[in-house]
Amino acid sequence: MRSSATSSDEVMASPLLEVRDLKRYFPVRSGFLHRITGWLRAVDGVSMEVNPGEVMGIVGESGCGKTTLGKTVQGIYRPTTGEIFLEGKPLSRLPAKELRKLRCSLQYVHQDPMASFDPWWPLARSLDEPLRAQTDLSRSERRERVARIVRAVGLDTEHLERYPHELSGGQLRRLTLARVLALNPKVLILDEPTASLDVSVQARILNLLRDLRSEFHLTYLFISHDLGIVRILCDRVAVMYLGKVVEIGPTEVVLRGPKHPYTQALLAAIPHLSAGVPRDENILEGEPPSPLFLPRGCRFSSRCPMFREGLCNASEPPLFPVGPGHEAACFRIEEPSRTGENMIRVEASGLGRTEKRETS
Amino acid sequence: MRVDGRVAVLQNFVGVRLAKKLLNRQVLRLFFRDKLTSLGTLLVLLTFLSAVAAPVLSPYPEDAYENVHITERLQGPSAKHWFGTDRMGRDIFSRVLYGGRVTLFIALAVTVLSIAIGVPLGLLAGYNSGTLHEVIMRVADIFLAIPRIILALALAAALGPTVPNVIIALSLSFWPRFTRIVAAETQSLRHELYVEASQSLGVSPLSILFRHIFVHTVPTIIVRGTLGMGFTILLAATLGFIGMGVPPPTPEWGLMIAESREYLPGTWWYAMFPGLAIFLTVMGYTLIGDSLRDAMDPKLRGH
Amino acid sequence: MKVRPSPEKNGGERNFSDPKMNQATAKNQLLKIKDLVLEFHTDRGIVQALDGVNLSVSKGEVLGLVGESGCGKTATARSVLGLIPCPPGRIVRGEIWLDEENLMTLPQEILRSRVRGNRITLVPQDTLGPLNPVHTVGTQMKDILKYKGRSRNGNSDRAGADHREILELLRAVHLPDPDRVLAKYPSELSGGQRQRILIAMAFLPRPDLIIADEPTTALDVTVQAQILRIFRNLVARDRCSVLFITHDMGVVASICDRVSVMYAGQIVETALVPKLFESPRHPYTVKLLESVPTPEKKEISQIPGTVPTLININKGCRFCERCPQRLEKCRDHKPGLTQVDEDHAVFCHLFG
Repeated sequence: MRSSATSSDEVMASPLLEVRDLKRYFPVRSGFLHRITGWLRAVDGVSMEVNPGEVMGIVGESGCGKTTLGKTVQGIYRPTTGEIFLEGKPLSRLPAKELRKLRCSLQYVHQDPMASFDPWWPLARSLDEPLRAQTDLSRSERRERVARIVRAVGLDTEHLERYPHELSGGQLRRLTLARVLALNPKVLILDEPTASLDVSVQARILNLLRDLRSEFHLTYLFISHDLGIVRILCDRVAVMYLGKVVEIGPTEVVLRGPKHPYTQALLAAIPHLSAGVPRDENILEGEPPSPLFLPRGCRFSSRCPMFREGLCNASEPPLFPVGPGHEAACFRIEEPSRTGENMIRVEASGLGRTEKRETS
Repeated sequence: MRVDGRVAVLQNFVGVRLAKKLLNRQVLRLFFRDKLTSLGTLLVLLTFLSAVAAPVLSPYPEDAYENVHITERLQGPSAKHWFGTDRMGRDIFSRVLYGGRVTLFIALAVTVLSIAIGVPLGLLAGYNSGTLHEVIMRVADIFLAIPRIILALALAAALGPTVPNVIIALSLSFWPRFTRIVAAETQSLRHELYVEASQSLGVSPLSILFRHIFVHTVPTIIVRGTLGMGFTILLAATLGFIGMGVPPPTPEWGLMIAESREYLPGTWWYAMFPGLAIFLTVMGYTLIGDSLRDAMDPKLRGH
Repeated sequence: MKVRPSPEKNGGERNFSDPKMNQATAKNQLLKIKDLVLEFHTDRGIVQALDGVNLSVSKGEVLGLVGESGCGKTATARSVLGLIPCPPGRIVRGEIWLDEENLMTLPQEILRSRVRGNRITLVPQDTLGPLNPVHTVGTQMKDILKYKGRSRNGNSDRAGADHREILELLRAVHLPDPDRVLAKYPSELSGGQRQRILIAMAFLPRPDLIIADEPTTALDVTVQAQILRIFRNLVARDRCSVLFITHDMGVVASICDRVSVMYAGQIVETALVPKLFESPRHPYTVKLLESVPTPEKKEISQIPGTVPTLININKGCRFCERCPQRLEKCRDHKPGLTQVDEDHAVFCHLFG
């Protein structure tokens, strides 16, 4: 399943996965004849690079387009425009056969583990299916490979005899990972891998993902709504809002000193264990506008505490560099943020005790 | 538990090794779950077995087709002839048993043929959107617009009264019902997450269609087929009664009732017993079909 | 179907009551659950859902009830409201006191008319189900006051006052343009807006106790922050008591005064919120706090093993299988209450 070696000078420089100005629009139809009346711009010009072995986090709230981004990158949706490069090769321009082989290296893990298995198939069969479809291994070889991987995710082959509804959320999550790992992928797109799991199970899955990454030399695109998880696993993080990336950079840097007002608000909204009540001014008001009726200019302008008339609603801000590898899409990043004094101090302690934030 | 045991039964039924699992406890529980269902099951078994064993059970197998015993014609039920004799002196009991064979054969053939035509078309129509879907569904609509009996009558009249023609006529009136329900199910199943997951894993569309989607439509097909059996039997008998069905001297229940008309009401047994056979058989299939449909209630479907 | 049977007299271990009971300020307690034991009879056996739960909420206090899924926090809430179907449920023993009345002795009629929706209201997790899709928000809110005997038909003064009260509450939950909102149907509103309305509906009859069952779990984090702030303000304004159920420790930190930690149907620790986070005592609480991911942490620890099934479970501490510090007696002897500090109680053999 490994692709042929690329030329030596490319190997060093090029990222494993690259997305260039990716857009995915959904038509909105209404009326008697189902005419197209508008476009839902779920992903509206996203670019990023992911290096081999890296974990790139994609963070945002509901409706920001992160799931659509993940599915479009993997190929479940076709991009409306834009290009995806895997190992330097543009996916849209490959012949079907090569595309199929290459797509094997890029796998997507769905958000709902229970629903991603056919409820009437025993799990052994569900895990066998991708191998049967994509490889020429014999039945016993397949069974062996599945058994090995199931053990690698911390389960036993006896779990395979069961049906999906008989296992817990955490166990099913492990099996969804096992199912894609059987194909020896290089890149995994993980869509909210710990959603709906209890906190203690979540911890185990995150630690498992970390172990799997080193054991199988994987690269992750880690989609989540929870900034809290991001630091544990992600090297870099991209924050999305209404279809666009508003901030991107190394995780430590972004969490320590977010430059985009939305990222700041997101961080401020996370309840902290020891700090108590956040300052009321930092609480973001309102809700995201409907993606069908976007405001003029910056998409965050309707809720932004730093909104300035004439600047922010005139045109959409591009990503400005704010540090090494760190960019933010805001016209006012040079100015001190209003929420600056409430930035969390990132400590490397086990219990995550922070310095008390200023409350008054 | 999200998936009820009853659905698990059908998944066993459909999935691996039918024969081995056929008589397991869950299946028995399904077919005998209450009094009416048990009655239906018994009736179906009764008519099925008596039809299959007709040559063994009939006291006068030679009376099944062409035979004449003028001296014994139109005699009432007696120890010698349990159901009496018909106008040719043939034993009605034997003819009813053999008639069961004919009827059952026709009904099964019709159902199988209708499924063979209707289900693949339904899968195709449901999986695709656009022209293919529209074409298939409109053609099905045309057939569905005409009541089954009239369509069957017209076709049988056009084709001529033979057993194969009856089968063809009845199938052509039955297949669109399968297409419609299978297409509807396929359309909704296509958007299931596990289908999407399989797609992203690189499983071919044909494989998904057959091994994931089709499998989930089987319970609905079984229900429709079982209910349809009952109505098909009724239709076949109606055709026979009108004279558009199987030709004499084939022992067919509807035909026998037709023959009996001129001798009523005196020779009541001539119409009664074939009529009772129709009634019991159709009721049996309908009861089972109804019961299976209740068991397949969507809220138990594991969603 | 009986919903509220009288508790049976049963021999067996008498559990210790909550610390607050013994203080002079006991009169200040609004809700007091004493030794609640609840089981469910299923085909697979008897599920021992609650094993001697003790908790209390003082007047004007926000008590957090925190635990993972299946630990029994929702069952506790439903028991207070009298909404446990019996069968298959069975309240083996226990008392639930609201002020001076034992709710377990009240007949369903009284519970329905006087207690539920009046003295005790509920803010549920699901925002769509509890709202009737065919009535406008305004109608549903007016109905609440109507059924509480607050509004009298035909008395326009009273109706006017009710209307103002509703509008004021909608403004308090930060719903812009309350008049327009009243005319809308639930399906026309977003999840965050519906949750605000449910909160408004819970505060409308000026209840003594509000039970909030994971109201922000399904919401985005920025919306959650807004909702929590609204909740805090309303609680401060009305001085009502709240039983706040959640699995999120962060939410507990931002809204609760005291917190009880539950595991597998048992309360394992109860303390004032800052105390609990500063110095958790029970091994489960410690592990739970360690496994909560926050932006500050680089690592989180995990708890080995899985939550036990509640059928045929051991008589002692239910965490013992997974506890790194378990003792011999933990399995069969239920730990009693140990007062570690003022307002900090643990149920663990390591301390008592």
